[in-house]
Amino acid sequence: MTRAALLAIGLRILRALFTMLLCVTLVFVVLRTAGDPAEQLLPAETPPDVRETYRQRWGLDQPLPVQYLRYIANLAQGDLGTSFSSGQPVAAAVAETLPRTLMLGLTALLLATVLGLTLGIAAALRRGTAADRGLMAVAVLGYSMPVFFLGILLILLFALTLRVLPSSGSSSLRHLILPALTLALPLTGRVARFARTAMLEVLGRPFIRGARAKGVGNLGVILRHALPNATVPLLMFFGIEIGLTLSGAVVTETIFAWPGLGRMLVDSVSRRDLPVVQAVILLVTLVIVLSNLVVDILHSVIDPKVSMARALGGGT
Amino acid sequence: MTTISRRRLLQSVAVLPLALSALPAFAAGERPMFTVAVAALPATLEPARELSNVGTRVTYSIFDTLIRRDFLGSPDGGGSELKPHLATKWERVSPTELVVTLREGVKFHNGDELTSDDVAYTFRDGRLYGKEPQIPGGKPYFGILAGCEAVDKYTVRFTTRVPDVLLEQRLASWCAWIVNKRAYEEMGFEAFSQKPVGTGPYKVVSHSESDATVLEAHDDYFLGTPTAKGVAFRAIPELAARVAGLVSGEFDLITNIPPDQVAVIEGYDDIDIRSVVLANSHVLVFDNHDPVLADRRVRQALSFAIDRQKLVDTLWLGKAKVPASHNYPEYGQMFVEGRSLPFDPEKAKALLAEAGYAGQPIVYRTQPAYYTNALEAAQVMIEMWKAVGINAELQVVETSAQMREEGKSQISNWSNSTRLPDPLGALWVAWGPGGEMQTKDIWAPESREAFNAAGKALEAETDPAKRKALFVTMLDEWEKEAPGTILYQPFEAYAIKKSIAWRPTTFYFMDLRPDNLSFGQA
Repeated sequence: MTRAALLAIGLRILRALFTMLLCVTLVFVVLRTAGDPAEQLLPAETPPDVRETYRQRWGLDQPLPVQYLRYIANLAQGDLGTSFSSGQPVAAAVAETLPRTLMLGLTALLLATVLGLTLGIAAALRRGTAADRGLMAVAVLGYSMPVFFLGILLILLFALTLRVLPSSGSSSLRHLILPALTLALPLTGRVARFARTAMLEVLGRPFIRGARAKGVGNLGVILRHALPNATVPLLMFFGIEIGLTLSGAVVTETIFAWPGLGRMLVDSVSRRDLPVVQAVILLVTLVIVLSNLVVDILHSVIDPKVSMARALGGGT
Repeated sequence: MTTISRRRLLQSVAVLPLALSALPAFAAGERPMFTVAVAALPATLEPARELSNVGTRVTYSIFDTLIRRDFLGSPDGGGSELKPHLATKWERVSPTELVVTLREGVKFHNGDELTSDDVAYTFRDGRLYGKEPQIPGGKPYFGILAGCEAVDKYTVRFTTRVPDVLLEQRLASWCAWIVNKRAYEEMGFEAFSQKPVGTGPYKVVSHSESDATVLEAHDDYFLGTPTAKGVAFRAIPELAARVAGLVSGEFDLITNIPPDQVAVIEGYDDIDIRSVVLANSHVLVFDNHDPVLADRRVRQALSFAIDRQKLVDTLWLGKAKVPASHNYPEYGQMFVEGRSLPFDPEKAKALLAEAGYAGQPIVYRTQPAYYTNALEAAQVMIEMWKAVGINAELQVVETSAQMREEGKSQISNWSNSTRLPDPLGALWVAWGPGGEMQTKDIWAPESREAFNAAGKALEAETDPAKRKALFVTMLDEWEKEAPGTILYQPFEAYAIKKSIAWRPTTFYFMDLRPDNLSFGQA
């Protein structure tokens, strides 16, 4: 690895840290200006003196800058704080929840990638035909359909009418199918559209005509010539999607009672359980930043024309 | 000769899973698991820490109180008679002292026997009351206690700071669950809150707020062996998923059925809707600080202009109830006959004219979904107010703080529960000096003096006739000053498999004790 590449990685990590600091600061300020958590968390009949005791216990009686510096100092030591409502360490709650979100997200991602690429490539190879138009219509329908609607439709069909799959929960692999499908189908539509465009761009290039002229078969053209060259734009596309998918699917997890990060975020926001909200947002930011970093590094590996320093935005 | 064809073999294989799944039902004497899908679960299971519908729905099966309020003794599920429970008897030995005798041989989930030490520990200074109590919501219920001491192994003495006619009711209320002293001390407050130890019919196996609370039968339960081998409360926020799970057999009972879904669910042959009018009223709060609403005649006009029965009939399928003011039949002797919340648009118009109301805008702020039907009711009421000449405007906001933001909102919504079957456990808790409306001065100090005087006198009074007269004064003052008004008592609907015998109560508790839960044939 060159010195320029190492410098670029270093700069990139610094940028990522800055992005995360910016994000947690924004969340910190917004949450604290959106109302007093003690109002939401304590029973309505809590006497004012007891309410004040809890404000002090949670550090909410301190000026905002003091609260902020204390939060950042704890964060720097890896302390995510303690949940206001359960009294449990936030890190433990997040650690319990994260694997479930990753399981759901990775399954959906895998499903969407396989299905989306297959459909996209198939459509590109049949450009302008009824099959192409049909596939793309399905793809548009897939990513246009709101997740909350699609999720309920799947529940009505598979859990209520056919009664072959459970409607909610996370206790077995069968419970994974409906939420993973709900999360995967819109993404499949987007992948298919993107894969079709990327493939069409490559399929029109002279080296594809050259390969065909040499007598390379259709499958060989796709696998050995077209697909590798379409990978770069697809990788960029996935850089964004991976982060979004793995960082918790708020709506899907709520519909299917999947106890992941998305559910945790919704619950903690509605209760104004600030330490939990901050920790989840921090984690989501981290996942998105990391996935982008990995994609950029992969970019330089896949495309020899691009140096790692350039891919990471640190030089040529 | 018998041959096994390929088709028959495939048929047999196809039927095998069904046959296997049916096996447990035939296991002799096996009790079923009872699965309840709820919209949300509490953060902890410390019973006094979770004073909400979400919390007590679960903790009611884990803990017991000394005295049991017999909700199911009344056909509407709102009985207020007190019955022996962990205590076998109780006696007033002076106006400020109550001596309670405990039932012998009651076992906690950890095998300990219930003794007076556990009771004294439950009601110690520093847990529910005192300077810095562990439980934030305990003071309104037990702030009146001077102490609780163990007299002998099975006898405790409660002492109050002033005579308190409601002490027995308090001991049967939702803040009075008896905890195990040894477990509480050994585990500490936070760990106990996650896996507490009580005497109830079910003991905690696991608790995850975002997933499920799993309980198993406490077979040494003093009221008999629980009828289910365990109970799982599963957090399913989405209604469609709860309904699908009930219909497909994943769940036995689901909660929080909105009125518009009742008919749909009733369409399933094997499912019952069981609903109950809650001991809770949805109310409106009128901000006295506002220059327009500072005139009580305008506040009264707002109240007279509401056709509450129409709201009940149209939004609640006629199953909610318009109460007789802040005055409920479960008060027993204290219930005041002949009171009502009249709909009188002409009187509203006259009051507005008298007050010189000149069409100034009056803003009603509500959260979109905190209370069922709040937004729909708000939209209807805006039109009802406009019909009497009030320039009303609706704003939908995110938080309760925004809803009551001074200078921006004149009307907001709220709910008042009847925590104890007495005005001191409802009207006084909500609107008295300890309630939010007075501590935040939303009800202006000058307009609440007479109400407070009558309420304070009621707290110290023990004579039934005088108590009732004081309550009438409070009610008169509250209606005259109109710091708010009642809309209706909503109904709570549960959907349950028809084969299961279970009755809901008017409070949030779900009673799954052996005498209220049994499994028949579908």
